[in-house]
Amino acid sequence: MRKFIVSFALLVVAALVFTQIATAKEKTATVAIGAPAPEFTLQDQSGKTVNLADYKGKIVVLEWFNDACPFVVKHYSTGHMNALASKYTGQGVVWLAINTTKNTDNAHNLKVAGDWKIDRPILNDSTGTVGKAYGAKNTPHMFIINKDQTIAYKGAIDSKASTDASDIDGATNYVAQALDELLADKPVSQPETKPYGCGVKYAD
Amino acid sequence: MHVRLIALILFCLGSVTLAAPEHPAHAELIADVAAVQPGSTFHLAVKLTMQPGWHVYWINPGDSGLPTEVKFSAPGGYKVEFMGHPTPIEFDQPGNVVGYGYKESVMLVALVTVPADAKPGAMLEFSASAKWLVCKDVCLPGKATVSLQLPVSETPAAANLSAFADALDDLPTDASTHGTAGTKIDGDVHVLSLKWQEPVSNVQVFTAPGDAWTLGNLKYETKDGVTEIRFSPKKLVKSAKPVEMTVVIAYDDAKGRRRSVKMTDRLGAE
Repeated sequence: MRKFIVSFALLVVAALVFTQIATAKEKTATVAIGAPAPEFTLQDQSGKTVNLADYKGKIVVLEWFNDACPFVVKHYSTGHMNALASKYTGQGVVWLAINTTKNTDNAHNLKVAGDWKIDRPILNDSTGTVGKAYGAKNTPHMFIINKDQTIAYKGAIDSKASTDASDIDGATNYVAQALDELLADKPVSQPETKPYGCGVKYAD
Repeated sequence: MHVRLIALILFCLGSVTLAAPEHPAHAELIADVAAVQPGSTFHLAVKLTMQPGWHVYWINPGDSGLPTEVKFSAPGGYKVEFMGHPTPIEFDQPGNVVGYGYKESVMLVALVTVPADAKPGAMLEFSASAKWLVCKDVCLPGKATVSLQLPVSETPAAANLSAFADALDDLPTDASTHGTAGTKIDGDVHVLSLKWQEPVSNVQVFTAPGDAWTLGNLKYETKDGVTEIRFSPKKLVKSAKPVEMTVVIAYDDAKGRRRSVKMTDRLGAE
């Protein structure tokens, strides 16, 4: 009996150690800077299919989006996100918002696009497939894909992690900085930052 | 008359349904005394109570969220020292979004030193402002300024004793008081170790590297009474300055109580 208890205890310990290592590994598995951007095909708010591969040769921004998140609201309530996107789409950049929130659908994304005056695609990823492929953890979590469809930037939108709109002005906008550099054919000086925001509300 | 009455009732009903839902976290300021004694110390705490299912965050919120912040203020001559955030728990949210923080309630405690010349009979006002992000299926920012009035008295008067006993037990203590702690750098790998003086189980490590640093390949293991933590610090921001990173090691003690110790590691020293 004692032997059984000891071997059972050893099994439990082994299982715990294994779980810890496995968890640690899974957590760090995200897209690396310079690695190919995971391909995807999703529908936008009007039901139109959007294929990442169709934008080869263009710089693409992915903006993880959830209209119920105060960090996202912060950047939209001031008109800041729309202005930023317009500035760069005007220079040939493709800007895609991706809504990975569980239970979202095209109708919801269409309504938000109307309410928030978003003229860019809001892609429906309610199953979480694309979010998981990119390791998107936050809203807004930002990724920039270079013309050759490799990852050029991933991380926060700016340098001030807060929900206060008054923090936007004093912050360094990492996405604008990286886009300016890419558009000038310069290397991205800050290709990775710590993202901030709400957690992406993945489906279970 | 009747029409008016009905209109009034409808108006009241309307107001009820239109009222904003209650914020899921409630802040209050409490103390472990009912009166402060000249020349003594006491504890003051912001207690955040959350509705079921909601959580707030530790100094490193994890993959999402914001740290819970608190700032205490006291009358002139009173020294107030924040004792740090208590032992966090980990929330594993769908999609592998890991969070560190607190559920149900959390107390952020400060140690207050009362001046020796405090006048018995005087009424004092202590206050604190707290800022947090509370999340469940959605996140809501919250803030509050809370205050508490306490008289000065020569007679000791305790209050909220069990709440404060639990809150103080929940604070990380120095690792060196629980064993032999060491840090070494092996190539680009930092190795932190703690040889425990007591049997421990369910060891869990929490790190707070800040925004400019990230820890690659973080792994830890407890074997033969030694917890060893390994990671490779990586600068996210090129201009990142060296930082003293807080490492909290939570464990169950021999009596099965959840406790934690803290140590620090300098990132960027090499």
